[in-house]
Amino acid sequence: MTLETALGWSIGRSMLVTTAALPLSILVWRLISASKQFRRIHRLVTLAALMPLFVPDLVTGFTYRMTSARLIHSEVATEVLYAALLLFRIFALQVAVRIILPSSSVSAEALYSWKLVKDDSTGWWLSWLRLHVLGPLRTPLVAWIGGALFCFQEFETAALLQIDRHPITWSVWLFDAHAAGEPLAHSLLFTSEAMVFQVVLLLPIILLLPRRGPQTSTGTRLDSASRLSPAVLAVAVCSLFAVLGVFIIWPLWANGLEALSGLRALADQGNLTSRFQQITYSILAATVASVAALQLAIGVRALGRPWLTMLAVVPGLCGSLVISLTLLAVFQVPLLNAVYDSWLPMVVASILLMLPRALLLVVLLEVLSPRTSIHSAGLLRAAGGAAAVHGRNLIWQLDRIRWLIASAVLAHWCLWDVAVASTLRPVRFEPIVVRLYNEMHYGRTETLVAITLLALVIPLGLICIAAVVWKRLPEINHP
Amino acid sequence: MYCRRRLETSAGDKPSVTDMLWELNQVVLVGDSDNRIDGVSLTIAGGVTAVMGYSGAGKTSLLNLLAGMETPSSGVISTPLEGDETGPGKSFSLPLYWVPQDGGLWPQLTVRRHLEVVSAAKLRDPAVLNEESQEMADKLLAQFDLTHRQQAVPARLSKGEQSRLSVARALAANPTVLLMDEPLAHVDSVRRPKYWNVIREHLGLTGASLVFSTHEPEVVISEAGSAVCLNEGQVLYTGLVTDLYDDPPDLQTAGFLGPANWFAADELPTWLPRYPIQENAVCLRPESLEVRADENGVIEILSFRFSGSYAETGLKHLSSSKEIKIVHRPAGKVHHAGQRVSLGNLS
Amino acid sequence: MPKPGSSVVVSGVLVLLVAALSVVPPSSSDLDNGKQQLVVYCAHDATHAESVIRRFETQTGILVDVRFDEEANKSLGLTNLLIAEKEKPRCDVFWNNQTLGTIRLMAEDVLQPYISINADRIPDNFRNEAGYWTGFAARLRVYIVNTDNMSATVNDVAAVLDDGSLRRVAIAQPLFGTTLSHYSVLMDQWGMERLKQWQSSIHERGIREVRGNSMTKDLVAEGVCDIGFTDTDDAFAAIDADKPVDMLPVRLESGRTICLPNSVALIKNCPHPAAAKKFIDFLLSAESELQMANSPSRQIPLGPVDELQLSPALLQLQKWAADGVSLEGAASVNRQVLDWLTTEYTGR
Repeated sequence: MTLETALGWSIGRSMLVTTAALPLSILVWRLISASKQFRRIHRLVTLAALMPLFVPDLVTGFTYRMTSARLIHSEVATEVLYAALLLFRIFALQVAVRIILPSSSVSAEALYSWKLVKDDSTGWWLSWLRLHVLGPLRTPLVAWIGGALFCFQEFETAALLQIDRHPITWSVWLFDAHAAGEPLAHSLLFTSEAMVFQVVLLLPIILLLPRRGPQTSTGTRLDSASRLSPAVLAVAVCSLFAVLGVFIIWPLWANGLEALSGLRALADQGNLTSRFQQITYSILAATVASVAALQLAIGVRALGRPWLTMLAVVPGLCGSLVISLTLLAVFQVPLLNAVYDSWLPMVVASILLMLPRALLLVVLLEVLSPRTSIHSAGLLRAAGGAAAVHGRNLIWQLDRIRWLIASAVLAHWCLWDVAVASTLRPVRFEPIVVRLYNEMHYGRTETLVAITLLALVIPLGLICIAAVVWKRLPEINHP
Repeated sequence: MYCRRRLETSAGDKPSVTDMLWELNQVVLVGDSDNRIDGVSLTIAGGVTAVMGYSGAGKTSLLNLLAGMETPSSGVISTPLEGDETGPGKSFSLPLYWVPQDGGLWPQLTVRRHLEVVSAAKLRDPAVLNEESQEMADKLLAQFDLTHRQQAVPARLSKGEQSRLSVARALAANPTVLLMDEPLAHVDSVRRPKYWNVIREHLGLTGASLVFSTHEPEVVISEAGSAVCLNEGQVLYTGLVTDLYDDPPDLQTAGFLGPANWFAADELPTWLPRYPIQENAVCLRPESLEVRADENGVIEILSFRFSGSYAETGLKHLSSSKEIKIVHRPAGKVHHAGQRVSLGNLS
Repeated sequence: MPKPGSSVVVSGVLVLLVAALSVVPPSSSDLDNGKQQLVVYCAHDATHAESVIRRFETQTGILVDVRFDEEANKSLGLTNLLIAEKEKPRCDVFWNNQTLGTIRLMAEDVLQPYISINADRIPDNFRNEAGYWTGFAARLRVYIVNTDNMSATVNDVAAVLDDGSLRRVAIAQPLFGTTLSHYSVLMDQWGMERLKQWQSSIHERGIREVRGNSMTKDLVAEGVCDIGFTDTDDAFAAIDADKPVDMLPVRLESGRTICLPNSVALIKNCPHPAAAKKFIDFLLSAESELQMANSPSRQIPLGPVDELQLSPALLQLQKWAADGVSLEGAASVNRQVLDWLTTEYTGR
C-alpha cells in the first residue's frame, strides 16, 4: 500500500466522521445550552460531553483491541469500530469548539442588511459567502475542521486496533515505514504530503480564530436553544449516554475489577513505590511542558500575528512521531549532545506537540475569563475584611482555577503521549506511559489496569493539592 | 479670548477627597498599530471629572490605566490612593472601584450577590452578611430598578440591566474614587437622569470622587466639575468644565460640550455690531445668541432648521455678502428663508 | 491571567530549569559513594529482565540504568537508536532479544568485540567468532494452536497450512520483531523468489496479519483464529493464563527449527567499558541462563546448566532448540528481506 492510498483512506475517513459528528455535537450543544439554568446539571452534561477528550488512547485502545480482534474476519467491521470510536471523540472536540468560540460578530441584522443591497454581481456573492463564513457558519466550520484534523492525526488507537492493515491510516503507515528503516529525511518528506492537507484545513481556522482583545464579560452565549423538542432531547441524551458507555462505563466494567488484584500484585512484587515514583516524575515532566506550552501560547496570542500562530502550530500538526524523530536527530548535534540524555528533549517535544492545543485553551480562557471581570474582583482585594475574601474567591473562580484546569488538561495529554516519551526519554527515567504499553504488550492486564488507575488518580490528587496551595498564594499577576 | 459664562450650576463643585488622585507623566500605551495613549501628562484632582473624546480617542485606555488594569508602556502614573481611609470602621471601603465599559460582571453570581459581595468590605467574616449589607443591596436594587431581576445571572440580563448592575455594584463597593467607563450607556435616555441622581446622591453623601467617560455633553455639564478631552490618544484640554463651556481654546474643543458659535475677532462687528471689540475670537453658545426679526436688519436668513433644543440658521450679511451658519435657541419663533433679522447677544 | 509579555520568559526559564536539573545525574549521591554505573539497552521483556539486572546490581554493586525496547516505540527500536547515537554513545551494553538486529549493528560499526570468560559455554553457531556478539537464552518460533478448535498435531497443522483457506491463521506483520527474523530464515532457505511466492500465496489464501506476536497469541487464545505463528514466550503466556492452547515448533523443510537466542554486545566507545564487560560475563553465566529459563518467558538455555532445575516443558524446548538452524545466512539476507518488505508494505 502506498502513502497516497493511506492518505486517501485517512482523508476520506476524517471527512466522513467529522461530518457525521457535527449534527450530533450541535444537538448536544443545544442540550448544554438549555441546561444552563440548572447549574449542576449543566456542569454534568458538559463534563459528560467533553469526557472522551480526556480518556487516554491507551485505555480506549486496550479496551477495544480484542473487540477489533474478534472482528478480524470483516475489514469493514474493523473500520466501522475505529470510525465509531473516533466519532465520539470528535463529537466531544466539536462541543469544546462551540464552548471556546465566542458569538459571531456578524449578526442576523448584518446579514439581512447585506441582502437588502443584493445586486447579483460576483462581488456581492463573494461578500455574502464571506459574511456567512465569519457569521453563522464560523463555529460549525471550525468544529468541522477541528474534527477532521483530529481524526486525520490519530495514531495510537489505530495502531492498537489494527488488524490486517485495517483501519488504514497514514500515521500508522508512516510509523511502519520508519520502523522498516526509512531514514528521517524520508519520513519528513512523507509527512510533508500529509501536512499539505492539514495546512489547507488549518488556514481557515487561524483566520477565523477571534482576535485577542477586550472580551465582553457577560457574553451573549445564551443561545436561543432554551427549549428543546423531545426528539432533539432524546437524541442528545442518547448520544451522551453512548459516549459515557463507550469511554467510561465499558472500560471500567471490562477492566475495573482487575485493578484491585493488580494493585495487590504490584505490592507483592515490591513495585508499588517505584511506580509511584515513576508516575510522579512523569507528571512533573508533563507539568513543566504544559505550563511552558501555555505560556508560549499566551505570548503567541499576545503578538497576534497569523504567521507566528501558524509557525507555532505546524510542528504539533506533524504529530508526535515526527516531532520525536526530528528532535532525536537535532539533539545528536554536538552542540546539543550534552543535554541529549536529559529530560530536555522530551520536554521540548511535548511543548511543540501541545502548542496547538495550548493555543485553543488560551482562546477558551480569554473567552471564559474576561479581563474586566477579573480586574473587578481584583479591586476588592484592597478592601480588607470580607470583601477582600470575596475578591480572592472570585479571582480563584474566574482565573486561577481555570488556568489550573487548563494546565492540568495539557499535562494530562502530555502524560499519556507515548511516542514522545518512548523516543526521547532519558535513559534513567522510564515514563509511566511507556511502562503501561509494555505491560499491555506482555499481557499483564492486572498490573496494567492498576498502574493506569494510579496514573489517573495520582494526578487528580496532585491537582487538588495544587489547587489548595495556589488558592492561598498571594496575587502576583494582578496590579 | 472672551466668552460669556452661562453655566451656573455644576454638581462637580463638591469638596474633593484629596487634591490629586492621579498624576500622569509622559504616559504611553502602545496599541496594535498606533499608540492608544500617546505621551499624556495630566493631573486628575478630586471631585467629578469627565473624560471626553470621540470614539477611539483613548478614553477607555486612559480609564484602564487609571484602574490599573493595564500598565503604561512607558511613562509614570503616580497616585496617593491607598487604603488609609478604607476598610472596616473607616468611611470608605476601598480606595478605588470601577465600572468597565462591558460591565465587568461575574458570570456565576446573581444580581443580588454582586452587591452583597462588594458591600461586605466592612464585615470581618465573609460567611456572615449583616443587615446593613442586605439593606444596602435592597436599596440599590430598588434605585436601579433591578429588584425583580435580583436572582438572575448576568447572562440573563439585558445590556441596560447589566449597565445598571455594574454601576450599582460600584456604589455598593463604597470606594474613595469611582471610575466609570461610559456608565449607563445602554440605559434608555428616559431613565438615565434618574440613575445619575442616585450616583450624584451617593457622591454627595460619601464625598467620594468620580472619574467617568462619556460622549454626552449634557451629562458632563450637569455632573462634572473638571474635564479631560482626548483626541487620538493625546490630551486636547484639561481644566474646569465651566471654562471648557464658556472659554474653549478652539472650536474643535468647544464641540465636546455641544454646538458653539465661533466668531473671529474681525468678524464680530459684522455680525454683532454692539458686542465689545475683542482681540481674539469669541465663542458663543446657542443660548447666548438671539436671532431677532428686524425689518431693517442688514442680515437675511438663507436657511433655517429647527432641531428641538436649538436651531441651525444660515445667514447672509447683505452689504458685505458674507455668509455664516449659527446655532441658537429660537425662543419659540419660527424663522424662514428671506426674512430680515439682526443678531443679539443675550449675556 | 498571566501577562502575555512575560510568557515567553516564563516558558524559557522552565525549559532551562529542566535542562539544568536534568544534566545533573539523579543518582549523584550514589556516584559520590563511589558506585560504578552502567547503561544497558535491553530488548528483552522488561519485567523478566529487571529481576536479572537487579541480581547483577546486588552481586556487583554496579548501578544499572536500563532502557527497554518499548512496544510503543518499534518505530525507532533500540538498534535504530544505537545507530543514531553511535557518534557519542550513552549505552554500554546492548542486550537484544534476538540476534539479527545485533548482527546488523556489527555492520554499522556500532559494536566492539569482547570475548567473555563465559562465551565458551555457548555453542559456536550462536556466537560471533570475533566476539562482536554472543547469544544466550533463546526462544523458538512456534505455531500456537487453539485446542478447542483443532488438535495440535503436526499433521493437522500442516493440513491447514499447506492447502485451503488461511482465514483462521494469524501472523504478525513481518516488518519487525521475530517475524522479520522468520522471513529472513525463509529467505536464506528458499531464496527471494520462493519467499515472495509464499508471501503472496498466504495472503491470497486469506491469512490474518496483525501488529505483533502478542496479538497473534490473543487471537488464537480467544478462539478467533485456530493457528498462529508466534514465539515460545508468547505461547507460554497463554498457557499460563489457562487458555486452551498448545504449541508446536515451526520446522523448515530441512526439519530444522528456528531458534532465536538473546544476544549481548559491547558498544564501541561506550562510557563504562569495565562495568559493561562484567555485565556481559554475568549474562552469559549458567546462573543467568537458568534464571531466565525459570522465568515466565521460559528462555531456553543454550549453554550447559543444571538440568534438574529445568521443567519438563523446558527440556522439551531444549530438544527443539538443538535442531535450530544456523542464523548466519539469515543475518546476511536480513537487510534484503527488510528492503523488499518495506516496498511491499509502504509502496516505496
